[in-house]
Amino acid sequence: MLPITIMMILLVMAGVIAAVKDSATAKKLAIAAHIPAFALSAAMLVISAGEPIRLAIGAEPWNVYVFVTPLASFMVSLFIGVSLLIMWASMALVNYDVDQARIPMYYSLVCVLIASLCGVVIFGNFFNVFILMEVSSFAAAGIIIIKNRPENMRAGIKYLTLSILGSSFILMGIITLYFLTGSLSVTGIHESLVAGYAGQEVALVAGYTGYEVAAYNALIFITIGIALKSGLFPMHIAFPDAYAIAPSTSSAVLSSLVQKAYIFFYIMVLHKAFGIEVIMNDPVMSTTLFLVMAVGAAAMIAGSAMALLQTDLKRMIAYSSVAQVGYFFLGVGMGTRLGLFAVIFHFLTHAVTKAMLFLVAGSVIQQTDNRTIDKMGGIGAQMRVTMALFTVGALSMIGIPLLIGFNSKWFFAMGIFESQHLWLLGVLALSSLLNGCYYLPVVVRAFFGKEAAEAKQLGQSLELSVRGLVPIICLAFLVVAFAVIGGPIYYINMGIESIW
Amino acid sequence: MLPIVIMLTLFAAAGVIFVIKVNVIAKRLAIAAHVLALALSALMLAVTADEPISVILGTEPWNFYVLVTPLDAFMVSLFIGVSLFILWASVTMIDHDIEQARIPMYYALMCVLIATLCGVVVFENFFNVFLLVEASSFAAAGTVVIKNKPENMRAGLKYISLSILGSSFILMGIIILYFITDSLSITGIYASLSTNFTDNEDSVRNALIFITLGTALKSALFPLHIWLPDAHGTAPSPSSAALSALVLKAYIFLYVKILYKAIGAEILLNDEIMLLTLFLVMVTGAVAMIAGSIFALMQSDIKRMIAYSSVAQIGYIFMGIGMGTRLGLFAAIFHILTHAVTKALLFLAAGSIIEQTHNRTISKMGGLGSQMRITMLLFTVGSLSMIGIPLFIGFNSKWFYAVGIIDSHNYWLLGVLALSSLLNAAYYLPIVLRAFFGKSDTEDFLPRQSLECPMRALMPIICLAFLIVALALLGGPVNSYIYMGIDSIW
Amino acid sequence: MSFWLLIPILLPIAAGAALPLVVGDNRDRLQVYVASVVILNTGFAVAAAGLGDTGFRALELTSVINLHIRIDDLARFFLVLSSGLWLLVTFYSFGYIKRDGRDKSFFAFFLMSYGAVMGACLSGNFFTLYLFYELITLLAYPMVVHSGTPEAMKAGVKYLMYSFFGAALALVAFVFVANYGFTTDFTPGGVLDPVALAGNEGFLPFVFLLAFIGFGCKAYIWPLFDWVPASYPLAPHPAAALFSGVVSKIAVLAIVRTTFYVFGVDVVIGSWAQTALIVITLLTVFMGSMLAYKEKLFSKRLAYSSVSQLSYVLFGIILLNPLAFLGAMLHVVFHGIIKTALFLSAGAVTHKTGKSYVYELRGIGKAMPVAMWCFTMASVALVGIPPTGGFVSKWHIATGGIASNHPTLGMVGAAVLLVSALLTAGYLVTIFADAFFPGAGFSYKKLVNAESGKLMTVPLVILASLTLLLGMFPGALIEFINGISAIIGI
Repeated sequence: MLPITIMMILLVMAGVIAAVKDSATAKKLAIAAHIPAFALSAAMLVISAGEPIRLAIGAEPWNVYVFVTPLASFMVSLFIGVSLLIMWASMALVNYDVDQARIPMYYSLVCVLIASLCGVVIFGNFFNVFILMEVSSFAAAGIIIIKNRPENMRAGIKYLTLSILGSSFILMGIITLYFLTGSLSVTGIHESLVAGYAGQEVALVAGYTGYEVAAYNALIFITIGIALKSGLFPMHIAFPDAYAIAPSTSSAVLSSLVQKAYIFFYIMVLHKAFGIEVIMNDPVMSTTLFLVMAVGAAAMIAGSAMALLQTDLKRMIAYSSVAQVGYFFLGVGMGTRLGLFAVIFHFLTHAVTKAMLFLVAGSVIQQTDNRTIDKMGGIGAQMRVTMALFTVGALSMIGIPLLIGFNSKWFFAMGIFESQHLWLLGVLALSSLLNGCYYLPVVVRAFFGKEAAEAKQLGQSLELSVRGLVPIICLAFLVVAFAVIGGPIYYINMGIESIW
Repeated sequence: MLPIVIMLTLFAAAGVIFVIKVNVIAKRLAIAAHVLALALSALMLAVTADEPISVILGTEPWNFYVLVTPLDAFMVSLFIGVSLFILWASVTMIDHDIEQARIPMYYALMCVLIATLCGVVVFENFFNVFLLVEASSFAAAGTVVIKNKPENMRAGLKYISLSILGSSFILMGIIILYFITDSLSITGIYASLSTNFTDNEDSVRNALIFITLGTALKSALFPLHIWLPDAHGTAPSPSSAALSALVLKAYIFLYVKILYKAIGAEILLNDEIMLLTLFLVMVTGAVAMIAGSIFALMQSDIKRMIAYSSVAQIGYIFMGIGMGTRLGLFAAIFHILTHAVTKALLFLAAGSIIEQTHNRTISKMGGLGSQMRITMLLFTVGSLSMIGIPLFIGFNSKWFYAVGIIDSHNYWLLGVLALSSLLNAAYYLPIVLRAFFGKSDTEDFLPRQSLECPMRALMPIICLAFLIVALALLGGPVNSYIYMGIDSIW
Repeated sequence: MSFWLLIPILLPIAAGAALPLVVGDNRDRLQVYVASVVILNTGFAVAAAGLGDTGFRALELTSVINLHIRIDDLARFFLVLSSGLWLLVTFYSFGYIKRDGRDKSFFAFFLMSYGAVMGACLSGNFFTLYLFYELITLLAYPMVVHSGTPEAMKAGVKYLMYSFFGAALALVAFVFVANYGFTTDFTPGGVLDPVALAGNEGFLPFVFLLAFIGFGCKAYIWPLFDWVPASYPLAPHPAAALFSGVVSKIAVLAIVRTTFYVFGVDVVIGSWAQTALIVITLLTVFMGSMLAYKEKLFSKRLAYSSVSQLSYVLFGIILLNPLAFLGAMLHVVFHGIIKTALFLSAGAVTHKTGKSYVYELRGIGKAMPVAMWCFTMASVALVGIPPTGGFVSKWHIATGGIASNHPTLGMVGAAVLLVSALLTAGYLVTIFADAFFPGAGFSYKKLVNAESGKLMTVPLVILASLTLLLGMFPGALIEFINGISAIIGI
């Protein structure tokens, strides 16, 4: 019942917050909901390490089926943990972005969003997962348009529409799998597919003669759907708008958490429903996966190249996310153990780093009322701590050792080696160089140069209140700590072992 | 005699209403007739499940011949049930749309319309059916022009002329079949074709093509939909609801009966030309799904938008029929149900918005959610169902379509299906989001008084919304009833 | 015991980070603080060099990614050279850097860079080296852009991008070694595992080339030296001196580690990568000299000179024989001292007189005799006139070239070295000749004594005498370097 309890805590609290309608109480309640949820998810980490948690209510296929592998509980802890820090920071940031009257609604939506993301990860029945994906899409759109401006409305609608298109594609894939196997649970589908597979080399669907194409279609549809929902280039078009225009705390949640749930679902489809050895032995499916990898590589470059062209700080970070999503798909597409490891580790990396960057961007925008990078000269003199935190994030994205970004880059490189696509090393190197090209100028302009000297003369501090800074500092601390602590690596390895 | 009683109940009510000419009584009487008819049709559902009801007066071919299979009974219940909700809602709404003096006439027309639609479904003799098709066309046109404005007259004329053109095509087909088989009843034609099809292949194919074209015209399959947005967009909202949710379906259902009961699956699915025709129907349906939505996307008038959405939905139904498989047909029939309840809800909700705010333009509906909270919530339910979000009946439809598509190996249609959901989202969601999150841009909205309709008017819409959710979650018996019905005609 | 090695790394980094807090706005305290930290740390560095071969690991994330601090002969060599030069430049900087408020940040990063350089010297594995190499890039950046002008900012970005690009190339090699090596700890003779490597040997030369050029970026190898002429003229002279004298030597250290301690001589010798790199380094030698010869801006001329001189060293390394290696390592020492001296004396001139073009320096020798005498001394040494240090190192490189496995290219190399020496003479001798012999028509009346303070001249004098002393008595140095070549088994 542990996973359900975690979700229920968040959902119930979402209801309570919606009912309370007092913004100060709403903030406290949201955080109060996250803390026990996080504690329970930590407990779940430990429990699921021993044995996956399974819980089925009702009979297949239309039942509620919870299936928590160590990787899933890792994701749940990541979601709730990072969200907790973001919520904490939002106490100082959200008033700038959201009308006072809508703040309870905002926190309520965030709680629903996090609960549904956890649900996407822990449920083993694809139908359950699908419903939660839809809920998460709507909640995510809600925290974009809550800002109540026409451009937010447009961005939210764009985001939601494309997200729904993605869901439809995923649904088509799920239905196809259901049609082939008569099952909706991840384990049931796998057993059924492998029974058809029966150890034969090529014919995945030997038991489904005449429906091989259907199996291919299922994979392709799910792939396209996930690509749409998580903003893989060139289907990212809704994302930069959404992230740039949403309240900064929403951008942090959206960019660092939401996409990951969908990609995790994709990993589950590949590794648990189909089974990776089946996919890699089938020419069509392995080609699909190869294309995923290649498109991921293209996204890494294209996202960064577009980030380079931005003048708006948040848009730039948003495009950086497009590039980072490319990393995930690159790793997933390798279809190797090290590739998968790199992806899961990069979940952690990107979650903490991008959350930090968006929160910093949010505080800069809030304190200076300016989002244009060109006008941020010398901001380091007035917001020393904030910009130092930004620097940590930027250096991590570039991949400087002893920051978590380097570890990710390293694991991706190892994955690339294992998969023998050595040209990707060049892509990886180029991508980190491009990261440098757009993150460093912000840092440089903030701390060095004439404007910095002039700003120093002014000497007035625009720093965010300590209450707002502490959670961002915690994130920065995590960026360093996870680079040198072996715990996550060990745990992720164990998790991958359990699903391989 | 049950089916005849149902029809007669409605006809009688129509007659009485027409004679009495008192508005209040007209409304009550129409609803009372519907309640009674609904009860009888429910009874018919139960009866036909065991055995089809058959009533024959006179001898073939020029006779009265009623044959009610489970599927027919299902359609009759659907028509009367949805119509009941629409009329219920119309009680308050209609006063805003049409002149007081014409209200009894309106209700009389509605009763006639529903009665004729039921007739189209239950009669087995094509000649009977044809007469009722014509009657329903005129009644339907009547509910459009009753508003007595120039654009209604134009729309009504356009509608009736194209509808008659469609009827004539269908008539051609029927006459051809009659010549080949010397029979006008569906069962008779079927029996005859099973022996002499090989001698008359081309004629049967021609008949099929004529009937297909006629149905496409009457049911507004893209690109023959040109009359629909005008008619549905300008008619009084209850009429729009009835036209869109019910009338189109009767003709489609007739088409299904011709395909599988008159011609028969074994002939239809083994003849290349007919298969090709079906395939084209499917492809046109798929094109309609996309095209209708794209047109809808370009509308600024809420009712026209919903009307164009119907064009897309009709595409769904034809696509399902065109697959020529049992699962495809199942999806199509189920979608008739889905679309009936959902579209009725949307038109009624749109009607009350227009009635309360005197505004039909989507872009001016910002912030409406705070003034018409319940209405907009209901509209949201309808939108989510159209998009195909789980827990709403539209999702079930989408699911059945996907299964049908996979079963028929036309995988590319999955993409069309997905894209169509996207487009649905693209035009329904902005209304919802703008209503709840957007800013009101007209000053006179600023005093935030509630513009909600009275509860009495909202109740039927709420019931429809309830149906949308209930059928999605507890639709098992309905599904199996439809399956049984399909088995009985396949 | 081995943990003591951390002190010379962490002390300056911590002291640099704490500098703004400790010194406040008191400039005298700033100098005392920085001086005492640097003196103390140089002491620690020398003490660390006195420890036996020892090391330790920390932050062991994986067998590859961990901090491995280690001291061996090669580390001692670079440790003593870097810390010695750093000490001298520190005092000079006190005289040079304006007390304008930004000096605090200059000295803070000055100290932190010192720590990073010490870390690079003491790196025991590839990860640690890569870490400190990147840290040097970042921590030295504020010194490059100290002036804060838009041009300096632009040059700074160029510097960062080239450095990151170089590091990225090196990282690719690192990944390769991590996959195909027994370990990534620096081991004389190389770490590659022939069994793991089987089938992929073809990549080796390419990857080696990447690593060599990647690390070579900070040793100004073609095609990655373009940032040097862009940024040095805009950086303060002490910073340029540190880059040219120390940081470029760290790049040499990285290349020596990669060549002899990671890939191993056996892998590289005779490969196409060796041939390519010989050609590239010779090309860079020639290009650097030519560009310096044509350059009129004083500090830019010195920058190009460094480009040329560093490739002497790289040429000596890639020849892969003991003679050339000896020459290369000697040149590391001599060029380190000489180029520091040259930049510092150039700095003294520009700092006092504001003159920065070579044709403005006529007669300056009379105004600043100490600075210009030191300049002359260093120039003579750089040209390679006996008995100065430059002669000893170049001689060994040239003979090493002829004795190498590429005798023909070695001969060409010797010729290029000779031509380059002539060009060196051409671009340096003219300066001091003009400075001391301004020729007829030069008015001595305008001259005022512009000699800098003791803080700047004393380090200059020490450096200038070192070039002579070490050139005359290089025995101990040669013995030490030969010891290293014995360990790495050339």
